[in-house]
Amino acid sequence: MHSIRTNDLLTVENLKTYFYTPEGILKAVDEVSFSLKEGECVCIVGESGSGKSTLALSILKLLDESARIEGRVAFNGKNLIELSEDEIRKIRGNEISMIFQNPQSSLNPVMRVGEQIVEQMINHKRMDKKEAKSKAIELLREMGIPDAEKRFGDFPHQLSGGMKQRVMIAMALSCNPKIIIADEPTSALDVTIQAQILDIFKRLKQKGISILFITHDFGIVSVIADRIVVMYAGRVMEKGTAVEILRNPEHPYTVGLLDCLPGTSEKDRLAYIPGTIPSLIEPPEGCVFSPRCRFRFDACSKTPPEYPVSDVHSVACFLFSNEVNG
Amino acid sequence: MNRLAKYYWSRLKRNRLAVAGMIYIIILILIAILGPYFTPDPNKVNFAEKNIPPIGFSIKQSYYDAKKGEFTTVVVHGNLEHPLGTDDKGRDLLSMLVSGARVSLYIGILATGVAILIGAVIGVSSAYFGGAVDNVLMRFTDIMMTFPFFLLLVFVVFIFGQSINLIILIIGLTGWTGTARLVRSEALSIRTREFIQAAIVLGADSKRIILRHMIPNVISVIIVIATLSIPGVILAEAALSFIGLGDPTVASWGRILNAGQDTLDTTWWVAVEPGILLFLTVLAFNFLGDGLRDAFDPNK
Repeated sequence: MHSIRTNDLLTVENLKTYFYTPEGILKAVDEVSFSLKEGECVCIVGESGSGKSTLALSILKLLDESARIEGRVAFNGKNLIELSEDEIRKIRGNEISMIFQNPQSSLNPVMRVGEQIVEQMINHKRMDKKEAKSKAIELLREMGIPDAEKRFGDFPHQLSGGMKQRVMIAMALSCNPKIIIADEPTSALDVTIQAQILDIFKRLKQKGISILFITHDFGIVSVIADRIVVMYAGRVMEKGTAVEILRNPEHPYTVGLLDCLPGTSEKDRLAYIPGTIPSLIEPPEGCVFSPRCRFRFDACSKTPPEYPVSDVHSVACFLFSNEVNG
Repeated sequence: MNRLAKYYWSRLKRNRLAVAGMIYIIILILIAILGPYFTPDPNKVNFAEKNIPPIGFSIKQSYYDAKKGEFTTVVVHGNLEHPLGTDDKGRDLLSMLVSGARVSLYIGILATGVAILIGAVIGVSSAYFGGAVDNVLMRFTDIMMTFPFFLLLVFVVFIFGQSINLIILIIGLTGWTGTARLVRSEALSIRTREFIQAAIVLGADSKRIILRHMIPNVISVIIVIATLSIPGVILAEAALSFIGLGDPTVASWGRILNAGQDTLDTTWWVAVEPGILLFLTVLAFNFLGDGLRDAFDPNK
């Protein structure tokens, strides 16, 4: 928590990512704003199809030409969205790194894992091979890979899923980035390995690396998040510090999500939010969550602005509008 | 790269047929390179020693005895001097086959080299750049595929004469279409794999992605296609020679086979020996190609 007061490292303002498809305009990310401070972990939470991954890819301009990105992603005084391909390439992997969900397919199968880590360092930092190799081995060791020297020369198929994800994290860290974007990095791993990988992320945070963590799992959120952004259908529903949101969720969607966590008592039936995420091409009028919302009322036919609940917590829901509450 | 080669070798070793094929090919290449220095001149004509069968065989031969003024029949046995026998002009078949190996391998490897190079460049560029580039290159490939290669060859041979290098060039320039298609489809699937995305995320540029990630992932396909298409080219040249469109100045296996076909009922070995060699060589390349394909497949 010590870092909350430091300056914003990455600021996303009013980010819109629209895909122009033959069926119409698909608003995958719509007017999303949040910030990431140094040494902080912000979790983007939402169910499948809520635009979490698209948001992550938009930040590094990794989407193809069918996507139009608007808004501001401020980093180091630059708006990343306006950078040219050459300029953004110098930031990718170097200052902002990314880790994907599936370590099985994110490593080049015909290249030794060590070489894949070394590649970034030679590319971005112009290190010589020997220096890069010793740093790569050191990184592998830090990631808790036993026999790092030997593993350096292994091919991806010789490693387990957890090992591969450690290698991916080592790759992402190889150029000492300031920010790591992790897109569900533990979803493809089993629970014990998940815990170990989360431990690595916690250590990174202590080292001052900022993490943008994308997940649908509130269990993970409660372990590593400093702040939380809850997304639904491309929009931010609620955001605030982790403590606030986990203890005092306000938005009906967040409340619903937290209710979905399995309880400990046997009589608890697993709760769920009825309905499915709407089509992003023709989203519902007004609040996108309103068709599934228990508390829906007249005001919901308009798009709700963000209402502050406290100075570290805001909700995009008319239930918290002063006008309505009188 | 050295360690990588070692790793693939350890996988290839497990396939006995592939190793046998490889040993056969290596020996054949050595014979093709060094053999002509040790064997007698394949073009030396000696009618006194014509139609000698290979060792272990014997045939009856009639000839006109000038002293007696009549035809006599003698039994001719194979001998050590001409272990594989001689043809109707008394030329040593072993020498002919050894120098023929040189010609056939030269054609096979060179023409395949030309075809693979063109095919790989067109295939990878097509897949990487996509869009209009892909469209133009692939339609061009389609046109080349339907092009009557044999007609072109007859034409070119008619205009420029039967030269071996011309034949290589034509086989190479028309034989790349299948390679282009296969390399493109492989490169396309690799382009969409997550590790390419991961490389982009970590800041790699197009050049690095093509050279470090795309090519190494299609190189196995290229090697396999090359190995499997060498016998095809050797057979194509043999077929050309067989119908008399080959280079008459060089004795490839196909041309020896062609020369032997007329006397298949008497001096059968002239056609059978190059035939067996062609058969074994094609088989060896196919075994090696299959073995390489399995060795390069990381999922096996």
